[in-house]
Amino acid sequence: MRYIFILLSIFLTSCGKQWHLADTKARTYRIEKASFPVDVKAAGIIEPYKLQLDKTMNEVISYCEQELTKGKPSSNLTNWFTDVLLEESQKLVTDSLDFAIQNYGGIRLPAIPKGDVTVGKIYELMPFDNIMYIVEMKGSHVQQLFDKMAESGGWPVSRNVYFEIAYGKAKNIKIKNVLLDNDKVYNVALPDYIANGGDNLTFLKELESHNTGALIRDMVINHLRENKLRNINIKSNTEKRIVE
Amino acid sequence: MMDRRTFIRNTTYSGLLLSTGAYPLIASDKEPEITRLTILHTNDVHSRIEPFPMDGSKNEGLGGVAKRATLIKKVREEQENVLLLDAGDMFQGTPYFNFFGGEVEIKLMSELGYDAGTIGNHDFDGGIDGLNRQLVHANFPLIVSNYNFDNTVMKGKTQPYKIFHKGGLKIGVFGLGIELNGLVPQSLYKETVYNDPIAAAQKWASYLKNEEKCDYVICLSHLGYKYGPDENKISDRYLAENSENIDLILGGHTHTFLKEPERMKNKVGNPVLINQVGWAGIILGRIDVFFEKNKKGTCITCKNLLVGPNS
Repeated sequence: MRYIFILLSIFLTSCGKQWHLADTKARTYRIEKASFPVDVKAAGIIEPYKLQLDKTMNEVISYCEQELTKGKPSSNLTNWFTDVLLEESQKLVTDSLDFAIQNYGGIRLPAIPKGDVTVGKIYELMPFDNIMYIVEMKGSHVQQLFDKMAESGGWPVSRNVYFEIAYGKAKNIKIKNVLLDNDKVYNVALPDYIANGGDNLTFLKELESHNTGALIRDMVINHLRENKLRNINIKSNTEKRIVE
Repeated sequence: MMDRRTFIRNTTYSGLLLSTGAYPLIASDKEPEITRLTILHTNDVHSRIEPFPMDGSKNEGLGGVAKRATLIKKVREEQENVLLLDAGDMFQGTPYFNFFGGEVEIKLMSELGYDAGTIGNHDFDGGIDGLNRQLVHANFPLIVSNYNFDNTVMKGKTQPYKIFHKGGLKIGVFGLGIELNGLVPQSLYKETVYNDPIAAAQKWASYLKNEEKCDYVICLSHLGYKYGPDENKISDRYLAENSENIDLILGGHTHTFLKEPERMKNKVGNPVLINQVGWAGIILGRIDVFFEKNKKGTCITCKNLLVGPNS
């Protein structure tokens, strides 16, 4: 058997022919609503999982009055999200918080459309199991953090924050309408991912931080549920917190 | 090497090519033997099992694995030599991942007949133990050439390359993962060691092309398409320009929708293609590569690897 294989190999490699790369053609298929029928076998694999999820995920927990869109340097979606984080984080700690931030890549949907908002939508917006941390940082560290944000064109920041981007750096930083004080200590709510040095913010690892133990996604879901009881919808806020 | 059915189909095809006038018709007593390799690819599907919900958002109704399955089956019925590949970040983005840890994603990729995938940064989101747990549902290999898993539970569970035999062609596939430090919490990737992707590419692409004599070398990359001048990161474009022996880079990570593959020149001036198809399984990419079998040095249908839409 082995002998035949060797003979075959000699025959195959010695025929003097070889493959030439002749041409390449490319195309894409866009998978739209009415493009292709559903494959029954694949759908059958999904079905039992889908049934389990639908019970939880289809619960309507809020109403969005106007489409929120994610964007840089500021946007109504990132404004809304970080304001919720600030408000909910403040409920968890006694010290007064100065502001909240979120890494841009941590918000995973480009928009929340106008209309009912389900639990599933918040899972897609914030799929990560990130936990809220409170980090104490001096003004000089805030400068360093905002410089990093400026470098990538702006990140989600809550109310109380204002700065301008000039040549990739943060300028004219104001916290609660007061110019940044390099020696003052600010209390900042942010995800554990950043507190632990994620997105190359290594210097944050060295700072004093407190784990609130609260999942960010749950904070948002609880916030919406509570507001629903009080008939408060999601509203758009287009305040320009970071200016280019 | 080729069965009769394939041979007839291929000669018919090449006859068609020549008669369209799109190819330089050189007088020859015999039409060339042409074989087509069809590469289907996805990246950054991010647990998008169902289509985006019909809620008025920009992507409503787009994507969905069960529809992609139908499309892939259709292409497989039409084409003999199909490779289905994924460039990483299968996980994270919908509750399917939060609740079932990647089980649904991997089971479906197995059902769809993926030939291989690579590992993206978000595939560590359930921890390396979480990723490892899902491998029992995979009937396809995870190919990554620059992560060393020796001191983790994934030791021996991935492979640095794989060679596929399709219609007499030898296709070499290797994989490159992105730097994890600073991007993924270490508590998730644990003792995974990231090695320089360019060095790994040079090593494995050369091995596949020169030692294994592969006819085509594909790199599954989760490095990202390109970055700004201030960002000191290795991208697919950087990889293309600084490597040899790669024919095609199928990328991911940056969720880039390329209308068509970008054609670049590698370190020694040979062509290399880069492609990426956005995210969430909205688009299935397809690249058809035509090979002519002939005596050394002669190639009748070879054109300068122009990339355009299929007719």
